[in-house]
Amino acid sequence: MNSGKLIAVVEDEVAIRENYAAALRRNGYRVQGHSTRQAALDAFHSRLPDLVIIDINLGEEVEGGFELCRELRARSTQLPIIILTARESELDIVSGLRLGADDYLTKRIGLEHLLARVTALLRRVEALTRTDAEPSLLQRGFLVLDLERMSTTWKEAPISLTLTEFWVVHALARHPGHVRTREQLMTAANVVLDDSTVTSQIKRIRAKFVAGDPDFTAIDTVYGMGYRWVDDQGA
Amino acid sequence: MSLRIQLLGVGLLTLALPWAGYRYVQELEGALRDGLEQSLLASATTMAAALELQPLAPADQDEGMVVESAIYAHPLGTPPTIDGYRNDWSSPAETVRRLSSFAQYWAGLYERTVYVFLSVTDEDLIYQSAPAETPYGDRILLLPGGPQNNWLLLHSSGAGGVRSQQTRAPLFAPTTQYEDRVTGYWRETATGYDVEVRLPLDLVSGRLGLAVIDVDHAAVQGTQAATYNVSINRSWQTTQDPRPGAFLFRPQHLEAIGSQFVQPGKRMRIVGPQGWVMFDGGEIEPLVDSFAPSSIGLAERFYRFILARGDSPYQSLEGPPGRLADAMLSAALQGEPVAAWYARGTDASAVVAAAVPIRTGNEIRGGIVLEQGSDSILTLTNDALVRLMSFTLFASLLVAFGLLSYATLLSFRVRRLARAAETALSPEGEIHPALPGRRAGDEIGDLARSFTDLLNRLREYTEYLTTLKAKLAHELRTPLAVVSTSLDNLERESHERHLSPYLSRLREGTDRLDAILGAMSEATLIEQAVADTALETFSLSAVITSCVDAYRDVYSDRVFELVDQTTESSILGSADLIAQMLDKLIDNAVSFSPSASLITVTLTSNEKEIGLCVTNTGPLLPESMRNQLFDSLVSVRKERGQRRHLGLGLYIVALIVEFHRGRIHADDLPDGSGVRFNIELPRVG
Repeated sequence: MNSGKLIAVVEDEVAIRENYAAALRRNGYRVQGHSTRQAALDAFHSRLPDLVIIDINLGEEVEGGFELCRELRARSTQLPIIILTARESELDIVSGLRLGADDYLTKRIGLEHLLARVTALLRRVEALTRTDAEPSLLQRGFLVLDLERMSTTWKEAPISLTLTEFWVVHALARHPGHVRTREQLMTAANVVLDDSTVTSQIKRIRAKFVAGDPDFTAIDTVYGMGYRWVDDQGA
Repeated sequence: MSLRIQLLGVGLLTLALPWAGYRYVQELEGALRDGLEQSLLASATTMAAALELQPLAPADQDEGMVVESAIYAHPLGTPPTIDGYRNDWSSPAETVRRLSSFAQYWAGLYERTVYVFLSVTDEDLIYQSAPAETPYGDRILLLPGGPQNNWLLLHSSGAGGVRSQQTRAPLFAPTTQYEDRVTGYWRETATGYDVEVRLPLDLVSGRLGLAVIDVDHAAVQGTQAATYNVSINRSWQTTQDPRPGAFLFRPQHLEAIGSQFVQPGKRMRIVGPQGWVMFDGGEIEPLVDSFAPSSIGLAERFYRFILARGDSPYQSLEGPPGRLADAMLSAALQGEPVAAWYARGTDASAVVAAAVPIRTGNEIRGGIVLEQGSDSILTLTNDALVRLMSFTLFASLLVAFGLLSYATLLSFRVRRLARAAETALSPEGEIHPALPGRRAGDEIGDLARSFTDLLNRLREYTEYLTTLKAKLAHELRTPLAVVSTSLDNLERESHERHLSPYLSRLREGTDRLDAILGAMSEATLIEQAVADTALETFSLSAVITSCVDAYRDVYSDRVFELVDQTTESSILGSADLIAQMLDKLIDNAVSFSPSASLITVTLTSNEKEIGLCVTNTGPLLPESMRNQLFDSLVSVRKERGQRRHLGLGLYIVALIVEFHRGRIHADDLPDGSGVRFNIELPRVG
């Protein structure tokens, strides 16, 4: 099933790297570990892996992960990149996502959740390359979610969402009008985060939709409880 | 004692400068006065020396001569007509002397003729009806000097010219021996009679006595013959030994000599040993306003005020007419040269008088009184001095003002620094290290700079402390990840059943550690979120209502009551943050209140602010931590609850309130049943 997929883990902390590697191998992946940016680049020179997990802080290079992410994205637009770091600040998250990472995760995430993401991202790449695949669509007004490719369009314009964001939108849009608490959203997105992190996730998602459509108001805040998808625009 | 008062005290010392200036001017004034007195005394002494050999009194000056009985003849400018009227006398009316209660007289001298004008009050005027018939009627006696008593009688049988007769004591009866050198005129007046008499100076020969014999009808009933009262009023002592007083006048030779001494602007008087004026010449210069330049009117008034001397008023030094009777002159006549100042009328003008004795050998024969007009403040007559004084005064005041201003400035700077130092640490715990005045180059500037440095370090330290927990959380995250990922793998790969309880405990422990780290970084995340938040206007009431509705579901074991007293509650801020803030407040209220208790959320508003109050029953606020409630990592919880608690909730509340420019404070309910948190947020518009 997963055989043959090569996953590169760029992490300077050997114990963590080996733990990730062990978990990935257990799930049938081949794993390549690197502790510095240069080592990773050298290895990627001959062949790109199928997915890369990068820590931001790489030994001497405090922001080496960002740099690596930028260089990899320059080489391949398709390569799934997950940034996995101890840094939780909003600025770091935004920076990582701007540089083209498909997901930004903190090290609080458990291995199970990490594996779920790896699987999902690899499946997405597969879906994109397999043109004959049957699209599994979820349509809510102007919103169309392709569950196979994990792509999103709003008013027929594509919206680039990270994996976490996609799952959040999916959780909201699946049952329009129903309030989803923050806990529910976290579970759906396979993350363990704080309330405030969910708030910033929602904020970023809204910003992405509003960038394409200034009139976007489909995500409604229910103060004290959570959020809901308001599907009155396309009806 | 405050610094300002101390500096004021020091500043007051500078008032010594004007005081010294004042003393200086006073000394100067004294010296100038002395100088003028000395020069006047010197002139007078010179004159006295020149008069040393001149006879002063016209006649023999018997010892023991009585002042009261002396007759002084005032010089007359023109010879009066002998007609019983005094209006042609050129001497002033004030030269009158009283002979008795009912008689007064004037005496005058024109060239070598003596004029006497007698004015007698007599209601019962009795004329001599017939010669040698008693009573002889009202009559006048003249007693000139000479070897024997040479009585002269003037009487009249009616108004008109009278001749004088020789007569004899004690009856003073009329005779037929006429003295033709003496003539007179008798005139009746409404109250009595006036007699004007002329007699040659030679006849007087140094002495003259005057007497009025008043004869009145006695009011005795039943007698045929008329009886009379006779009273004699005279200028000498006794009838038995009539010694007429001196006849004094201004001798011609002194007039000639004195005139040479008279200087313009000065009055010079030569007096005899008893003060009778023998010569009087010159005029005191009338008061001239131009003593001091009018351009310094204000300064002049000021100087006159501070230099005022209080001289005794000038009364032209005259006692009885014709005689100087003055303490100063009496001193001079005792042999002591004296000078004195007198104020003359207005306060600007004064008279300087100098009196010196005239001696022949050891005998003091008289004196000279020299008077000169002057400005009462001599300093003011000298423009240069006035300018000097003004400059000195101005400079003194300038220095005093300068020192006082400097003292005020200094105290202001110190107090400003003190105030700034007090408020450098704001109640919210922020530190404003930029103290005022730290650019100054002096010691106060040094102090301000030291304080600023100190506060800067304190701020750095505080910042370090506030970021410590975020850094700590970040640093701990990696080892925790090592543990948790290892644990994940272990759970997957271990099939030893007996290990599972340990694994689950390990999982529990790492989860708790993870939660603690999450809470520690949450505050930082909120700080960042707050910094990035875009402001929007929203209805506080709507957000709170929605939140409270949600809490009813979430906390089913509490009763929520929302009291909304606002009609319009728009504020500028972030609804998300406000909801988060309320989450924390309610979380706090729930965790402290007993099950099924009431939690009240109240919204009120006034013109400027909207008040949000969350009240819960439960334990009161601990006294010791009341001021730290809203600091991070402060928890007042006593027992360790189920949930993680790092005391960050209220810190986040305070952070959000501050972001909305509001205020928060917590206190106990008045009835002691619980606690309430009050938040005031500024409203829009």
